[in-house]
This record gives sequence, structure tokens and C-alpha cells, in this order.
Amino acid sequence: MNEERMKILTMLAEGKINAEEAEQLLSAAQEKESEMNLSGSNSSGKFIYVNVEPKNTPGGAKIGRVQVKVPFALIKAGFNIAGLIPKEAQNEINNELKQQGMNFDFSNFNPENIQDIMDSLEQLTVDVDNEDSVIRVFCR
Amino acid sequence: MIAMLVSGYFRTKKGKTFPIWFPLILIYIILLPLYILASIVLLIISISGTRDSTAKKYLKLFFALPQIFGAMIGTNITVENEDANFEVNIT
Repeated sequence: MNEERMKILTMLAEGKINAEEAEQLLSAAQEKESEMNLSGSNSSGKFIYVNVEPKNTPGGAKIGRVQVKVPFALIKAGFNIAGLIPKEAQNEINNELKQQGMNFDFSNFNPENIQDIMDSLEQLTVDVDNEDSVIRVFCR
Repeated sequence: MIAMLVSGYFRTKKGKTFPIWFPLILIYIILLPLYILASIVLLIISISGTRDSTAKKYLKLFFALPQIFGAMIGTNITVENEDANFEVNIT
């Protein structure tokens, strides 16, 4: 928990602000953190690569070579914007996702979680080797 | 800094190449009036003193969207197969 949130909760505990005011201050603090994350997102200069290399197997399916390079900043911006989606819309999205069989909660997109996800993504490496192709997903 | 250009090519099996070149400023010009309108609405909501307006939340989301244009600089997609090659760069 960061200093600003702690301050707000202390003020609430001391009775200087009421629960409604605390909620508003916490929302504002969260938005501020999102914006700060967003502004610093271009500095990483890292990319996520998705490479699909076909294998020259006799009689195998003929698939093409695919290379996708996505800036890390774009993923981070996406996460941050997802965090700004209003609660009502988040609930709608969650319900739709559940109906499609994906138990995913958009309200988990808070600045602290986003940073954890981004840190984990930096370590991400996926290698899939099958009969037709080699698929690699990595961050560099 | 925001992305300004989508460029690339499409090359057919016969070797014919079609360059792709699209200045993103055209999209920004289309979006500009929407942002001006949204700014006015946000200003009115702020002046009216509405604290927890849903419209305000959506407008904040709308104003955060241009960050995507800045973040997508460097995106590259290349597809090569027997029939055609295709490449797109965002700069």
C-alpha cells in the first residue's frame, strides 16, 4: 500500500473524513497512479515478440511465417485504460465474459496489480514446438 | 509523442508490391472535434459541481484513449507465406 492511500485511511480512522470522502479520495489517488504509470510507460522500450516459424516437414501443413512485435508500453497502456473503465461497465464486461466461460474480474485492474502483471510479463517466455511449426513468445 | 504513420507493403506471389502508407494525422483530425466537444462537456460537468457523475468517468476514459496512439509506436507485424508477404509498421 502506498503512502497516499495510507494517509487517506489514517484520516478516515481519525474521523477527519467520512467514508464517502475517503472513497472519493482513494478513487482520485488510483487515477493519479494510473496516469503516472501511463506517462512512464514509454520509457521501458521493451517489446513482446510472437514468432511463428514453420517447419519444413514433408507432407506437412503449409503455414506461413509470422512475426509480431508489440511494444510493452502498448500492453501497459491497455491495462491502465482497462483500470479506468467505470464500475458499471466493468460489471457488464465481467458478466459477458462469464457467459462466454471466462471467469475474469476487470475490477482487479488496479495500479498495484498492473505493475505486478507487467513485471511478470517481462519474464515471460512461451515455446511451443509442434509438428508444423515452432511458436515463441518472449519479451526483449 | 504519438504514432504518426502506418507503413508497410503487400507483395503478391508474382512479385508485385503494393506499398501501404497511411498518415495517422487523418484519424487525429477526425477525432479532434470529438475531443473539443468532450472537453466542453467535462468543463460543464466540473462547473456544475457533480461529484460522482458517470459521464465524468466515461469522459476520463475517453481522454485516456489517446495514450494508446503514443504507446503503439514500434509495432510491427510481418506475415510471409507462399501466396503473399505482408508487413505493417507503426512509427
